[in-house]
Amino acid sequence: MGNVTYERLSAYHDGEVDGEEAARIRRDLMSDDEARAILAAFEQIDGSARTAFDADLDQPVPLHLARAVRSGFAARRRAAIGRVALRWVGPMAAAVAIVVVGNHWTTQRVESALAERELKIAALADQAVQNALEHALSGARVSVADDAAASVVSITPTRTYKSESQHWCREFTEELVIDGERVTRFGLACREANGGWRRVQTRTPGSTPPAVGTSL
Amino acid sequence: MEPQIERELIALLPRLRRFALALTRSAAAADDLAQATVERGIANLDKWQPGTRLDSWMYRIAHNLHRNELRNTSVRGGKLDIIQRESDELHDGERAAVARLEFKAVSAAIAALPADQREALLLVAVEGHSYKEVAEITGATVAAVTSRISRAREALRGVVERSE
Repeated sequence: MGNVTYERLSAYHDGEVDGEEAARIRRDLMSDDEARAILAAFEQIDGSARTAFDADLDQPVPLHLARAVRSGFAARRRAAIGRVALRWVGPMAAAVAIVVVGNHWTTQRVESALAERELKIAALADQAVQNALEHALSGARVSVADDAAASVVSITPTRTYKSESQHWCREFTEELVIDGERVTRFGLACREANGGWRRVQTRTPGSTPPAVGTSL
Repeated sequence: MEPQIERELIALLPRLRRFALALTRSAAAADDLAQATVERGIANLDKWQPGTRLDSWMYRIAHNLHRNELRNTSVRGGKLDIIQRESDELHDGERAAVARLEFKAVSAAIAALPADQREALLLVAVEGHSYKEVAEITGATVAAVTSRISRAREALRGVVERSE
């Protein structure tokens, strides 16, 4: 090989040499068969390296990694709620998920599996509210568990009264245990004309409760 | 803003894990490193500059955690469970057999590289980072990065050419 070193050719291949040096290397390449062969080999080496490294991307990503991201951001949201007493950001924001991903990882599949699980837990919470408010006396605790979703929702009605609009309303404490993480919230639900209980308020301890639903 | 970063980070996980594998060469150690990186990254998210590359930032955290881990572990016992790479692109027949041989040879050669060369090869040749970005991720000079990537290619050259 003539004037150009292996290392400078490698940098040239990566577009990491300045204009003047690049022009000189281009000139050298015209008369240097060996340098041209090396440059061509770089393409092949990089291609082989890509094939080898890309195989790592096909391995399933362990779910604890996805959970670490979820719970990390959930913790940030909880900290934000504590600081500024924000409105509760959605019942399942803090939910951490266990989902089973098959042999291939795709972001969409994980996203949809997480969303599906959040819906499942929301349905579980609704079931617990309906059971407890319909059948339990104030102070009695009703729990509903879903093993597959690794979650337990417990509802304890605390106070019952008739609202100004003559609806029966019940306040309750709600305890969610999701993957062993415990979240306690306070809720208010009122009975609708169809007999079901509709949740009109959910708040976390420390947050300012919104005005009670006088629209009912 | 944060929900978008959260999605970006989820999407980055396979590549972050691959980067951790390049550093550790052990699936179990890579998972631990990736997990520690995610936790550290999210805890320090306020220090990340929006508009800059999230992957480079996470890689830098992984690189530093790994370096500290090496420093703190005086005796690294046990044998590395070097992961067996499998390629999807192989088909039946002779061509596949040849491709499989090359794949194995290249994977073995990459595994045998010094860690800093393997890291530079992944970041530059596979992920397309600039030398400057790699220098920032690894805390090395651009000259050192230039040398590492060149030596990595030199080491792989024999393997690729032999298997042709």
